[in-house]
Amino acid sequence: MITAGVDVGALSTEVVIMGDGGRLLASSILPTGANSERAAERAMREALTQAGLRLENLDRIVATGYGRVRVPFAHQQVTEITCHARGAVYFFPRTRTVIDVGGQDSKVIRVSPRGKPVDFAMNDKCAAGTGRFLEVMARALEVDLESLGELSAQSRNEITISSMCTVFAESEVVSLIAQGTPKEDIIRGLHNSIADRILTLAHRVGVEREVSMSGGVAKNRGVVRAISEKLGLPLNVPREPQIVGALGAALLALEAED
Amino acid sequence: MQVNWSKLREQIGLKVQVWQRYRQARRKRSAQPLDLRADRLRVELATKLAWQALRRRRPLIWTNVWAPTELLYALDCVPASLEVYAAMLASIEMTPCLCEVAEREGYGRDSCSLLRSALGAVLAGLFPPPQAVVCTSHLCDTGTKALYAASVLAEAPFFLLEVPHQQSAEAEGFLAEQLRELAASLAALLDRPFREERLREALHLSNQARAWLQKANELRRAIPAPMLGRSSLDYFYLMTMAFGHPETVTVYRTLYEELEGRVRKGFSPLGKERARILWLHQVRPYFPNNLLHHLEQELRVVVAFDEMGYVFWEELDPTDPFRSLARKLMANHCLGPIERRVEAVLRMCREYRVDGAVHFSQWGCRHSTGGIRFLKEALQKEGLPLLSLDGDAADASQFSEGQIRTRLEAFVEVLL
Repeated sequence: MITAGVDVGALSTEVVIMGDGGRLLASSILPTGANSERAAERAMREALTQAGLRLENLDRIVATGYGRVRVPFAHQQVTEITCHARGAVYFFPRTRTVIDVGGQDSKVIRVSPRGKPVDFAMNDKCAAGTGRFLEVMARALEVDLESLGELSAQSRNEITISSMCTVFAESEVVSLIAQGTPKEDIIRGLHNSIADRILTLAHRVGVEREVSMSGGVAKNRGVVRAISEKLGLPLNVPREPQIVGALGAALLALEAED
Repeated sequence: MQVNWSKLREQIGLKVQVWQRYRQARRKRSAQPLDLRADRLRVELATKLAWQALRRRRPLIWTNVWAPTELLYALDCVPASLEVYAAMLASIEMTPCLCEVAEREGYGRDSCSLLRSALGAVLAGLFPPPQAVVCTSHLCDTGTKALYAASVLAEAPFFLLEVPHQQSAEAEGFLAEQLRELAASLAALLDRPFREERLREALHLSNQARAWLQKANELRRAIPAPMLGRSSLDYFYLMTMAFGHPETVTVYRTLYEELEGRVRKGFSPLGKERARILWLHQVRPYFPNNLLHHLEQELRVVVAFDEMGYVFWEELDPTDPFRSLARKLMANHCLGPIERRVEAVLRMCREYRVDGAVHFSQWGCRHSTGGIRFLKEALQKEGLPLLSLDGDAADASQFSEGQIRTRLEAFVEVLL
C-alpha cells in the first residue's frame, strides 16, 4: 500500500509519500507561488521521482492546507489541523499539544493519544505571529530568513517589540535600526513577540505535555527557544518540521485505505 | 438653504444601486426555491412590512431588535428594526459602501458592521424617516447608541426603555411603568388614542405565534432534523419585527404543520446527518456566501437548533399587558449574568441532542463574544466542543471564506 499527502500552504507546498506500515519513502518541499495547482503537481512529481514511482502507483492521496481544494489528483481533503495533529503524533507519540506556525497562519491544537484533534485555536485574519511576519521583518533588517535563529542567539539585551501588527512592527523595527539597536536584539524581540502571540492561542486551548512544534517557522531556533522559555516546557521539533502536515495527510490516507 | 449637490448625487446613486441589486437578488432567489411553504410566507410578510415602511401610510417607528413590537402594532404603527434592514442591505452587498458613508461621518470602524451600515443607510437617506425611534437598553449597548444617533440624524424623538438586569417584582414594575409611559407618549405624538383593548389583542396574537413556534421547536428535536439551519436562522426576523402581527401566527402555524408532516414521515431535507450542532448568537453572514450550505449539504452537519429561535419567555398575560411585556423583555436568557445564558444553552444542547455548538462571533459584538470562554468551558464539561467562528456578518470585504471554511471543517473533524 502506497499513499501520499499533499500540503498546499500559503508559502510552500510539501508532498510526502508513504509505504507499508507508515514507512516514509520520499518527501519534497517547493514554494507555492501564484498557482497552487501547479505547485502541487510539481511537488508531487519531485517526490515521485525520488521514490522511483508513478502517480498510478499511489493507492490514495489526501490533500491538506489552504490550497487543498485545488489538488486535482487528491482522493480526499482534510484540514491542516487534523493533519498536523496526526503527523506530530507520528514523530512524537506522546504529543498532546501541537504548535504549528506556517507561512500564513499559526495554530495550537490539543490532540488525543491517537492523534485526533480535540480542540484548536487559530490566529485571526492578520499575519502577526506567522512566517510571513518573519519574512517581512527579515527584509526590513536586510538579513536572510534562515539566519534569524542564529542571530537571535547572539543577542545580549532584551528589547520589546510592542506592535503586533506586521505593518506597525515593521516601522518599529526600522526606527530601532535608525536608533542603532543591534540587529540581534531586534530579532530576539521579534521572536518574543511571535511567542507571545502563540502563547495566547496555546492558553486558549490549554497546554498539555508533551508539546511538539511543526511548520516552517519551527526551523527557526530563536522562535522555538522563545516559545519554550515562555511555556516553561521543552518543545519537540522533528528534523524536517515543514513536512508534518503532508505526512499526517499521508498517514490518514493509509488509515482510510486500511 | 444651500443644496449639497455631491451629497444628493451620492444619495440618489445609492438608492438606484439598492433598487437594481434588489431586483437582481429577487431574480436569483426565484431561481432557488425555498425549502418550506412557511419560508415563503415569512418572506412575503417581510416584503409587506418593508413596503408599508416605504409607503408610510401608517406611522413608521425605527426600533432595535428587541423592542416590544406588540405595543407598536397596538398603535397601528409599522416597526422597522434598523439592524434587520441592515442585514437585508448586506444580502444585496451594500454594506461596504454604507459603512464607508458612516465612517466618513466619524462612526468607528470597530463597531458592529450591521449598525454602522444602518447608520450609513440613514445618512444616505435610504430609510424613510420615522415618526419616532424606540430602543431597549438590553443586550447591545452599541445598538442603543447607534439608534440614538439615528434618531438625531432623522430628527425624530427617541424613546429608550431601560431594561433592568436584575430579576425582581420591583424591576418588572419599573419597566412596566416605562412601557405604559411609552404607549402614552407615542399616542400623544401620533395624535391618536391609546386603547388597551388593542394592546390586549396584540398580546393575544403574540401568544398564538409563541404557541405555534414552541410546538414547531418541539418537532425540531426529531432526528433526523426536519428543518435546516439555512432556513431556520432567518426566522429570527419574526422575533424582531413581527410579534403582535396576525400573519406571524399563520407563518408559525404553517411551519408547525409542515414540520409535523415531515417528522411523521421521517423526512429530512438533508437525509442522513453526520452530526448535529447548535447555532449560537443570532447572526450568520448575510451577504451571498456558502457557509451554511457547505456545513449542511457538503459536510452533512445539520444546525439542529438555533439559540435565537428559543422561546425564552412565558405566555403574555393580556389582563396585565405592561407588566407582562416587561417580563418578556427581562426573560431574555442573554440578559444579566452569563450563567443565565450558559444554563439556557446547556438546556438547548440536551433538548436537541447536539454534538457541539458553533458561535458566530460578529466582529465588534462585545456582548456575545464576552461570554465565549464560559460557554466553552460549560459545554466542554458536557463533552461538547464549541467553535467560536470569528467573522463579519455584513461586510463581505472583512470575510475570508477560506479561513472560515478551514475552521468549520476542522471543527467537524473534531466532532466526528
